[in-house]
Amino acid sequence: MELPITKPSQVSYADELELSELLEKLMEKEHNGFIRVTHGSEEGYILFKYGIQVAASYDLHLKHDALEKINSVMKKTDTLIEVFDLKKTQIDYLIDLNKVYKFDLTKKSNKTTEKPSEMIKNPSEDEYFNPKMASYREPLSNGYTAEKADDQSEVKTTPETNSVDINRDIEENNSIKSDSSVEESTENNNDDLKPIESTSKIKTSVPNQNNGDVGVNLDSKTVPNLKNETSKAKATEKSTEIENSEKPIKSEDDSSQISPGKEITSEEELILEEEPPEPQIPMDRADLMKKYGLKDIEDEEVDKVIETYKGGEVSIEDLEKIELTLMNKIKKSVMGINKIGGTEVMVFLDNTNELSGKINIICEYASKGIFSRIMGDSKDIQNLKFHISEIVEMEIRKSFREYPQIVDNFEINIDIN
Amino acid sequence: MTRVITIASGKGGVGKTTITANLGVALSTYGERTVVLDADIAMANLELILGMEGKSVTLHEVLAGEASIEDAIYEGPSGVRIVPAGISLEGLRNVKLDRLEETLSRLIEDTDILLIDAPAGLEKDALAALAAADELILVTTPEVPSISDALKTKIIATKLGVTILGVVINREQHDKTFLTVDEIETILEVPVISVIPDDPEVSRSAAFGEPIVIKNPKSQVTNSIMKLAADLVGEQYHPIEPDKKGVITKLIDGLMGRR
Repeated sequence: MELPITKPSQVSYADELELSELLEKLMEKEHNGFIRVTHGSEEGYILFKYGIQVAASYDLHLKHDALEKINSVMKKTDTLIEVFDLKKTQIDYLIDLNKVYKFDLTKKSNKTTEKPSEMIKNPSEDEYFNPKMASYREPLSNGYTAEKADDQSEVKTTPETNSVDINRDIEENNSIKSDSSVEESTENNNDDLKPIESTSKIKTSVPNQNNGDVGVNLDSKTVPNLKNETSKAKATEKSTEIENSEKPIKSEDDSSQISPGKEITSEEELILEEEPPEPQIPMDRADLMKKYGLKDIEDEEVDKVIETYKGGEVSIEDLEKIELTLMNKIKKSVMGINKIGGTEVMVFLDNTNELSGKINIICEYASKGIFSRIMGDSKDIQNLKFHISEIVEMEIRKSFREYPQIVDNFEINIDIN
Repeated sequence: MTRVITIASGKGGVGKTTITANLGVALSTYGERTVVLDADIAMANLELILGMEGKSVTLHEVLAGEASIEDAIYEGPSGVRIVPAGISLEGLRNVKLDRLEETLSRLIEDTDILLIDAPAGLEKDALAALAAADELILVTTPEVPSISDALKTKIIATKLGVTILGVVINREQHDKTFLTVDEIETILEVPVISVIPDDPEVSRSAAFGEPIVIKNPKSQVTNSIMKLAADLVGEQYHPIEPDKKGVITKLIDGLMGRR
């Protein structure tokens, strides 16, 4: 099983701990988590929801078979048992993740139906799921009699033994003809002819049980018609859930001879009330979002993202600050040139699609010598303009380090007097 | 009237470009005059998938104002017209995204369907590709991070007034750890219009520079993409069943000359 291994809340060797006691304790605590049973290189897991066992695996074994294996290794002294706690919110997800190991609903309903009958017969008896008994319930298709026999006698018996008994009973009661072993076992429990009515109920429930192996339905998705297939599978699942949760209860109650008719219905209601909530796949969007830790984006965030596309991330106030900063930086740099006596810098930014602008620089040429005055404007002025232009570009690049190509968006005008 | 459909995902590496390229080819086979534009100007690879690398004029040059869009259109498989984005970083430096709108307006002339392969993320280039679209196809894998990003993209696209056609679930696997189709539909609140199975053949096709719809027309992936294309243009598509002949039968047929 795929389970989050964290720090165990309890660690013990099998000889120091009785599994049944542990299970009872977890049941009482309504424990949400799982236990790991390690024996040599083999590992087994039992997942709990509200103290109820919902899934099990052991090495390559799964479900009830795994429980049986776990039970068998518990007799060995070198088996290590670890108890792990989980949050309630994690359980449903983990059940969903480990669907393959999940106990079949048919068996679950059998298990839940056991509770009231046990309570009636022997209130002191443990309510926990006996792995050994569970393992005998494994063959669903042909082992329904075994399940019933288990439930009836509450003694560990093999399916073969039951079928023998049933066959003997059939011989005794010739009045009922049926292939169904369920039917036969019901007859076995009822001497008069009245229960035949209840037998007919069981008759209808048997094929449903056989078909209604939810484990199969859940995994029966195929890619090409995935959408339809999934919904179909889910519909089948739902219908079998309903059928299985109702019908086996009837049959078991019949077989356990508690009392037919109205009392069964009331017991059914009691069972359904007591039954812990089934781990269902949340289909509500909010549930799904929570399950997968997803969030919708708020309108404000959306607007911000879209604003960046529109190029409006620089506000007017920011624009003015940029203008001022750029102006001062350029002025300072230009004033650093020896031949410049004074300068005035004007920066006009435009923030439409991309940041662009115009930079006007007026400079006063300080050291114009006599010779230069006689000769008129020499190359000096041109060189100075080029020098100032380079300084301005450098300042723009320095100011927009992340986006240096922005320099192409600026128009630089230099006037030297 | 030209339909401008953007293929976006939010998350990178979900198979957007592969689906766009193959969908473009598929639409062309239905007789639609289709242009596929690689708007992923920073991480372009449409040309690699279609085996059209090394073109001198690409979208980079067009957006840099150095060439006209007509010079950047190349004919691909099944008559689909391709506008590659160019894979050089040097070309990317001069790109001005503002020119994209104008470029698209010239591109839609003489075109039935313009498919835009949007970049991953929600940066300016991705938003430009979204904003340019009339319709949007979201591509996602059935994994949570991918769904999360697709959700963001869907919300932004809705805000930009783009019609969302649906979700394409790519690389679907029979794995219980992934989200189901129903779950994805519920979370994204848009219909799933196609489910494309995970198939290594897709990567192989890309390596050969050939779209899978041409290289392997009987594959499930091809059938899914062809069906999607048919649905987009209201055509009927009958899936091509894969050969049921065994290897030995094929070998014997080959030897006997009964191909």
